[in-house]
Parts: sequence; structure tokens; C-alpha cells
Amino acid sequence: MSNTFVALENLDKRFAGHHAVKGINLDIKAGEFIALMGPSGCGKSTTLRLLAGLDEPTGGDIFIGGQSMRGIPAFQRDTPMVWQSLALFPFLSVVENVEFPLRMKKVGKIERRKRAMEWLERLGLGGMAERGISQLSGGQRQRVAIARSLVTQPPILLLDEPLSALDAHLRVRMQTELSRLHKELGITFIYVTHAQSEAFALADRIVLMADGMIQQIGRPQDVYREPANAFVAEFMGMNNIVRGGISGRSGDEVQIDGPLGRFIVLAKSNPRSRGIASFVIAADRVGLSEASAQDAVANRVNGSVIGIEFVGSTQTIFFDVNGQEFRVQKQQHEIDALDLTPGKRFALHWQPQHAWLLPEAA
Amino acid sequence: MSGNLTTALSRAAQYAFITGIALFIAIPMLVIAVFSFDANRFPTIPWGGFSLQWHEAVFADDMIRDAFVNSLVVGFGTAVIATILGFAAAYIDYRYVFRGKTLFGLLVAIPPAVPVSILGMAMLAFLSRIGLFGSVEAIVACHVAIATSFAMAIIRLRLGEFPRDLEPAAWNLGASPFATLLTVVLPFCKPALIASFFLSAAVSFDEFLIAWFVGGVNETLPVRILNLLQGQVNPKINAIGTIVLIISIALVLVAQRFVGVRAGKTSQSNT
Amino acid sequence: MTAIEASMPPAPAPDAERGGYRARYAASPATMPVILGLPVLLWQVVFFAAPLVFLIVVTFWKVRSFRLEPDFSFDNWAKIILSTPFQRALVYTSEIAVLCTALTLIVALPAAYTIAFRLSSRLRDLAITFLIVPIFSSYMLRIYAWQIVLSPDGIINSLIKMTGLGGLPLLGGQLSLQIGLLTLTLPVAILILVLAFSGIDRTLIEAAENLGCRRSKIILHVLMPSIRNATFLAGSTAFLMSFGDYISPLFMTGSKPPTLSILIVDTVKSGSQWPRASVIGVTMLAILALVFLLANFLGRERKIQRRAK
Repeated sequence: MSNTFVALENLDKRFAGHHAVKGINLDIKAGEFIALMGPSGCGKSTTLRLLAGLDEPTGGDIFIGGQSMRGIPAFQRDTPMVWQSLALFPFLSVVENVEFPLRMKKVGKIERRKRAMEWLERLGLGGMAERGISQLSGGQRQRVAIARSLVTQPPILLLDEPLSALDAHLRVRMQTELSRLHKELGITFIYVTHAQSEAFALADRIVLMADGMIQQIGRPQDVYREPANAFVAEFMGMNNIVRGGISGRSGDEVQIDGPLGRFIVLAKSNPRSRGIASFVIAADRVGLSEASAQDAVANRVNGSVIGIEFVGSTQTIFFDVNGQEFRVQKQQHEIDALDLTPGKRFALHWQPQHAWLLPEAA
Repeated sequence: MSGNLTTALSRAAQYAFITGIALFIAIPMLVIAVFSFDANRFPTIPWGGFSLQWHEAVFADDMIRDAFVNSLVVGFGTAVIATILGFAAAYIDYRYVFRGKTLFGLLVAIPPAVPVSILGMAMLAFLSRIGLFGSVEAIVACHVAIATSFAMAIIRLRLGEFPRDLEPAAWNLGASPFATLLTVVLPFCKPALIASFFLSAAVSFDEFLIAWFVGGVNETLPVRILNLLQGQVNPKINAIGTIVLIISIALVLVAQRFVGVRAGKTSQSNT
Repeated sequence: MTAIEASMPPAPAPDAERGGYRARYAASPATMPVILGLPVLLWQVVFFAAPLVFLIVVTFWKVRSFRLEPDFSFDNWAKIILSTPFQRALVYTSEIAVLCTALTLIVALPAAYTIAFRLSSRLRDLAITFLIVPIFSSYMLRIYAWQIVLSPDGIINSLIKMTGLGGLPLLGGQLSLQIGLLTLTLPVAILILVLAFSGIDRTLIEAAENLGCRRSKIILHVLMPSIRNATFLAGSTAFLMSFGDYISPLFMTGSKPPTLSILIVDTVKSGSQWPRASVIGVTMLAILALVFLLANFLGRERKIQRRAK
């Protein structure tokens, strides 16, 4: 509570004809690395802009360091942002770009040059100080943007999909640098992204948004394994959702009957015992074996292969289970021995404790 | 094959055509320049021998010198004010949305489209009514009303290339809107500002009807020329003309260098 | 009071103030646009709009003993519009403007085509510079130069006489007038069309060639429709410039017959017949506005049809 550094209180933003942020609430601790995630149009970028003061809320408030941001214009907040387009000033040299915030704070010439150079050295750009922006590579420009945002020692850093313009291996390198910077500086980072891998790699907590509302807040692994609703389940991972109705419960074991059969789900944290329910079984927790007619074992369905998708060493196999698409993720070596021609039938099974009962009705 | 022959012929015809047009445009200027050194009073063939007398006469002529100074003063004043106003208008057009924006844009963009004779007469009538007639300032004021249109167009073009995140980035980094204007927008627009300056100067330097209407006794150079021309053919005019042409062309060329009007979006180019 | 709302391009439409939440997130306070906009606005109003409005007002005033007096009478309008010199000048000015516009387009279209498609890009840039320069430099002097060249003792006639033939009366007629007007209109018209031609998506042309179209067909069916707007713009600009020109008629035909602009200047020069001169001016403006609106309307038609689909 007292550790809360940034608080969004019923934050609401309406544009003409588009309700972008619908009264969200969020508490962010000092020094946390928060990832704002979600599909396009979910309101994450708008929220970031509201934090920076680049748009006015149409309702609610933002508190930074306990102070309300009402009436405080962007240039009076200390919420520097790393832009997706980098927004470096093309008519200034590298070091002049980094100096800019200090110049706006009326820091003296010598002092600001010194501090700017310190930051450039820190990020490995010491020799580039006098160069023009156009002479730098994408990764170098990225680092100039970061240096420029941090040169005033702000308590908070906003990042708007900063790595999306970089190619894959550069992105991973920059992720490591950002993570390192965060640990060294100990300040709050608020990071907008639509790439799950980035959020997982960097964030202490993930805030998943959709349609202007927060769907779930939590640690990456919690949001991944224990999604709050079907949307989160589908967005966060390779998950299969099975629908049905609760037909019984004994202790932590919940029995669900649905079009795909009868299943047992272990639901420690979910007390529900009646009604329509869905559960989630992650694709990487489904086992494959020969289809044989006689099993009536729970947590098992039969499906026929539709196709396979190769993503590096992980293979995703798509099954047709009674008309519903099921996804199974395996490592390449695990399926070498299997015959996965389309149409071939397999038994898909999992353990009850790996299924997750969704808190809300489907 | 005959196809190639006809293509080659039509190509040749096309090149000849535009060469002819180029000559059509260039001949007047060449005539003035060349015959300003002609010893003959009347420029014709045969050539009368090389002479600098007309150029000397021009430099010795007081009225011409005064008019020239007036032109410089008016041109400089127009350039400065038109560039400032043009920038303001361009920035407003770029950044803001408000009721009456179209009308505002029209007010700035239309003046060059109004025939100068009408505009000159209107300005004369109005200014004399409010007592501002007959001064160098009056000429500047009227020239600015026209030149601002060109300045705004040039600067607005440049602002069209302004990366949209730069201003919010500046605010985000602590720059007030005014500081942003000074430290981010203006520097970015520098080439366009320079081009506007020189083009406004060219527009003013070249303009004669309004200056004639409104200037009264204060003659700018073109007005002096106009008055000279009302008399008989005067060989001094070639000399003045050469100088005026050189200055005008220089101003426009400098302006053009800073604007970079480009043509051509072929499927191969990626601009 | 204009509602000046700050908006960041290309953001969605400006925000409406919602239910009482009026925080001034001065990412853009209203003071700045006012500081920026007011000087320009005032300047244009005082030195451009007001004089023109005044011009219209003056058409209803009277001149008594060489002094201008406010009044409201249609006398001036009647006198001018019904006067033969004015009507003749009106017809004449319109004729030469139409002729000039036609000549301009006839010359400018092939010229622009050649420049845009047949020249290397360096030559093309050179051509554009070559077109821009004369637009802003000393139209009057260049007309004077033509006067010299075309005069009975001028260069061309001297050359002709050297071959033994008698001199040609080049000056004083429609030929010299049109030469003068073309000096004014050609650079602008060619420039507009070159830019328009250059802006055409080359892939359209390549596609047409791919489908087996011959050059002439491509010109007719792909290029011309694409530059339709630009053609109307070039044409109306040419008309505007030639209709309102003062210099060419003055030097090329010695003001005989007079055009409307010459009438204006003469009327002003010969004493304070402001209201009469103003009537001529306002009439000219009205005609030009009509022509421009017409050209706009004709040029736009395609777009409307497309949208209706």
C-alpha cells in the first residue's frame, strides 16, 4: 500500500466515438517493472499517454508519488518516455539529443554535457557523441533514446513498444540491457507491448488489457498458468478451452460434463460447484498416445490430426476434436516417432491438476 | 524497323519542342543581358560593339540608386515579416483544428490569385482612406500580404514531413509548448524558413504594380523601370534589367535550393 | 468566438469536455494558437481583405468635386456596365484570355509530358528549376525584351531585312500579345502539369503496357484522366493570369484595344474616379471567381461519381 508509487484511479478516456479506457484501477509499486499488454486497440498505449500527460483523462485520476496529476501538463511531469518511433531530433547530434531534457531544465552547458556523456558512455555510445542521428544503426539509436529519457534521473520510465522496430536478435539483446538497467536504477518501468515473450522476459507483473479494461494483473507465470477468463487464456498462451457444466464436486475435484466428454479438474482456489464452466488445458500439457476405443478415462479426448506448425524446436500440432480445434505443443524430439499424417487419430490426455478452472462462466 | 524510326522521329520532335520552349523562356533574359553591353542605343542586329556605358550610367543615376535602395529595404522587410507570419500560419494549419480554419487558410492563400491591378487599386484606395498611403512601410505591408502566401506554402510543405512524435516527445522531455516551438519546430523548419525568406524577397523585389500604386513618391526599382519604360526606349533599361534579373534569379535559385522541389515517383524509387 | 481546441495530428477528432472534468492539461494551451494566429489574421484582414471589401463598398460611392463621398447609389454600376468602352474591353479581355488559355494548354501538355517522361531525372530537376525561376523574376522586363525583339527595328525584323524581304509587323497585334501572355502563363502551367505527370503511379502505366496497350492509347486512357484536376488547375491559372494582366497589353499592343486592367489603371491615373475603377475591378473579380468555381466543379466531377459508387 504505502509502497505504491503510481496509482490509476477509475482512469477513463473517451475519444469522439471510441471509449478507449474504461475506468481502470491499478496500483504500481516503486521500482516495479510493469508490462501493459494486450491486442491492438485495447487501450494500453492510451493509458501510457495519459500517464505521460499527452492526453487528458475524461474521468478518474492518476497519482504519481502520491500527487494527483490533474492539471499538470506533460512538460511538468517527470515521466519520460521511450517512443516506438524513437522520436530523436534529426537536427541535433547524438549528445545534443541526450542533453535536451537537461537543457529544458536549464542545467548549465558544461554540467549537462558531462551528464549526457556519462549516459552515453554507460550505454556504450561514447564515441558517437558528435554524430548525427542518421549515421547510427537501429540499435544505437534505440540506446540514444533510452539515454535521453534517463538523463534527468526520473523516478519512472515509460516505454511504448520500444523494441518493435528492431530485428529479432537485436531485440533480445536490448531486452537484456533494459532488464539490466532496470535492476541498476531501481526505478519504476512501465512497458507497453503486444509481444508476450517480451513481457514475460522483462516484467515483474503483467497487466493484460482488452477493450479498454484490465483483464488480469499478476506475475507472468500466474497470468499464464492461471488465467482469469477465457480471453486471457487465449491471448496469453497456447491454451485449449473446454466448455461444459459442473456436474459434481467432491473436495477440490470438480467434475465437468460437456460436448467433448466428462473431465475432472482440480480447482483449489475456485469454490464453484454448479453451473456453466470452462477450463483451460495448456497445449504443452497435453499428452499424445494411440487412439484406442475402450478407454473411458477422464481427461481424455480423441482427435484427428489437421496439421503441424513448426516454430523452431517447438512443434504445434492441430487436432480436430469433435469439431473443436485442439492444440498440442511438443518438442521436436518427442514426436519424431509419431506418425502425424492428417486424419490420423490420437488420444489426447492430461492430468486433472494441469487443467485450470476459469473463475468466470465461459 | 519502321516502328523504331517513327519512335525516334517522335522523340526527336519532342526534344525539339521543349528546346523551343526553353528558348522561348530564355530569349528575353538573354536579350536584356547581352544588349546591356551593346554600344548602340537601340538593341538590334548588327551589334554595335561592346560597351559598359549603360551600366555606368545606371550606377550614376540618383533616382535609380534611390529606387534600388528602396527595393532592397522593401524586399528585406517583406522577407522578414512574411517569413514570420508564414511560419505562424503554417504551424497553425499543421497543428490545430478549429472553426474558421478554412476561412483562415483562404485569407492567407488567396492574395496571389487576385490580379495585381485590382489589388493595387484596392490597397491604394483603402490605405489612403486610413492615411497610410505613400510610404515605404505601406509597400512592405502590401507585399507581405502577398508573400505570406508563398512563405506559408513552403513552410507547410516542410511541416508535412515533420515526424509526428517529435513535438509530444519534446513536451514529454520537459519542453513547454513555446519552448518546443523554439527548440524543435523552428530548427526543423530551418531550410523552409530560409527558402521562404529568399522567395518572399524575390516576390517583393519583382513586384511593381502595387508598389506603383501605393508607394507614391517612394519608388522601388521596378516602378522606376516602369516609369522609364513609359518614355521611349531607353538603353539604361537593359543595364538595370540585367542587374535586376541577376538579383531576382539568384534569390529564386537560393530559395529553390532550400526547398528541393522534386518530381517523380517511379515504381523503382523508394523515397 | 472560434472554439480553438488543441489537437495532436493525426489524432482522432478533438476531445469534448466531459461532464465537468476541465483539467487544463496544457499540452497545448489555447494561448499559443492565439498568439501565433492573431498577427497573421489581422495582417491579412487589414491589408488584403479590408481593401477588397472597401473596393466593393466604394462602387456605391459618389465623387463630388474630386472628393470621394460615402453614398449608396448604383450610378457607377450603371454607367460602367452600360458603357461601350467597358463592354468592349470586357469582351476583348475575355477573348484574349480564352485564347491564351487554349494556347497555353496546347503547348504545356506535350511539353510537360516530355519533361516528365522523356528526360533523365537530373534533366527533369533542371527543367523544373528552369520553370520556377521565370515565375518570380521580372515579368515586366521580359516583356520589354520581347518588345525590343519584335519591334520593326528589332532583332527579328533586322534578320529578315538582311535576307532582302520587307519587315513584318510583328508588334502591335494579337501575335505579340499572345507571346507576351504566354511568357507569363507557360512556366506556371508547365510546372503544374509536370508535377501532376510525375505524381502518376508508374505501375499503372506499366500495367497498361503489360496488357498490350499502345502508347497513344495509354496517353489517352491512363494519363489524361489522371491529370484531369491538374489540367483544370493549369487552365484556370492561365485564364486568371491572362485575364488580369496589365503589362502585356500595355507594351505589346500599346493599350489598343485596352483590356480591363488597363482601364482600371487609366481610370485611376486620370483622377479620382475610384468608384468607376472599383466597378471594373469588382466585375473582374466576379468573373474570375465564376470561372474558378466552374473549373473546380468540372474538375471535381469524377471524384463525386467515385464516391457515389
